[in-house]
Amino acid sequence: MKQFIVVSALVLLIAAPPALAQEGPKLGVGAWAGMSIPVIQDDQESGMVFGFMGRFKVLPFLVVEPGMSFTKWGAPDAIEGIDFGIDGSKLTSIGVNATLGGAPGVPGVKPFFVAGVASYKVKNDDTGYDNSKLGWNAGMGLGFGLSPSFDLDFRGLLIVAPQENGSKKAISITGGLNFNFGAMQ
Amino acid sequence: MRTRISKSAFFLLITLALVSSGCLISGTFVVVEDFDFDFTAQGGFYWYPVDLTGNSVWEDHADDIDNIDAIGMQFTIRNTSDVSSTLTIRIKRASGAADPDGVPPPITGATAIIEGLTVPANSSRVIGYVGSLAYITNLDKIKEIIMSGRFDLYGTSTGGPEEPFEVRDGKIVVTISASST
Repeated sequence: MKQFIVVSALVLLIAAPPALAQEGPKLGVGAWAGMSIPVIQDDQESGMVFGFMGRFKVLPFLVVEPGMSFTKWGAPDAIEGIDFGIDGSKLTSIGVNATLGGAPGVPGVKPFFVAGVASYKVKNDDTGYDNSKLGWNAGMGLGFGLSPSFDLDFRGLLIVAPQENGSKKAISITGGLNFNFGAMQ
Repeated sequence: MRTRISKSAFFLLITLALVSSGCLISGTFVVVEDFDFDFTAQGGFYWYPVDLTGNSVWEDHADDIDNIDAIGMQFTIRNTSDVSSTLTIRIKRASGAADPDGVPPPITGATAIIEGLTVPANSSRVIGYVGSLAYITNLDKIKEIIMSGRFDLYGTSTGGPEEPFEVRDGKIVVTISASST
C-alpha cells in the first residue's frame, strides 16, 4: 500500500505540472496495438490486440477515453495428448477509460494511471462459447509527447471480463500513437 | 470540503471490485478423462462409467466450478462389418463408485452427446477434438449432467451385423471455469 501511494504521488508530481502549465489541445484520437496474455486460461494462448479511442481532456490531469478493442487469443497448446485444433477466443470490448496524467499535447515523458469500464464479449466460434458482460480494466502507462500534435502511448493493463460466473482475465501490453486536434505548433 | 478515504475503505472497495467480478482466484482449466468402448454393432451397446471427481484437475477445483465452457471428445472408431454403421454416444447422470466391471444401469433416460457419426464399411475414423464438436448435441443438458462429475457413457450403433464395432483411445475433454473468492 505504501509503495502504491508513493508511486501514485510520483506520477502526479511528474504529470500534473506540465499539464497545468498550459491549456493545450482538448481533443484527440489514438490507435494502438500489442499483445494480450490470458491469465490462468488453459484453453487460450497469447494473442494480438488492437484498438482505437477518442481522447477528451476534461481536466488538466484527467483524460477520458471512449474506445473499442479487438483481441484474438492464440490456439491452445496440446493438453494430455489432446490436440484441440481450435482457434483461441475473441475478446471484443467497447467502453470508456480515464487516465490520470498523460494529458494530450504536453511535450516530454508523461507517466499515467489508467482505469475504465467496458462491455466485454468473449466468443469462440469453434466451441460456441459466447458471453458478454460489463467488466473493468486498470493499469499504468507512459506517454511521450513527440510534438503538440502527436503522442506516443505505451500501457500495461489488467483486463477483467466477468462471465456468467467467474471471469476471464488478461494482461494487455500495447503501444500506440495519439493525434491531438487543435494543437498549437 | 476534503473527502478522505481510509486505508480499510480503499481495500474494501478494491476487494468488492475483485469479488464482484469473480476475480480473486479464477481461471479456465481443462479436464481430460479416458474411456473405451468395444461392442457388437447390431443391437448391442457398451457402457462406461466416468467419475471426474477422481480426476486431479477436477479435484483441485471441485468446490469452485462456476461453469462448463466447452465439451469435446477424441476417439478412434473401427467398423469391421460390411455395411456402414452410425454411432451414438449417450450420457446419463450416475451415482456410486464408477466400476467398469459392474452391472450397467439401464440406458433409459440417457441423453445423446454424440449423434449421427457414420463410419463406412470395413474402415476406421479418427475423430479429433475439433471434429467431435460438429457431432456434439444437447449441449446445455450435457453440461448439466457433467457438472455433477459422475456419469455413465453408453455407446450404440446401427447398421452393422454381428462384427465388433470398436471405439478406442476415447477421451472426454471438459473445459471448466472456476473461481474462489
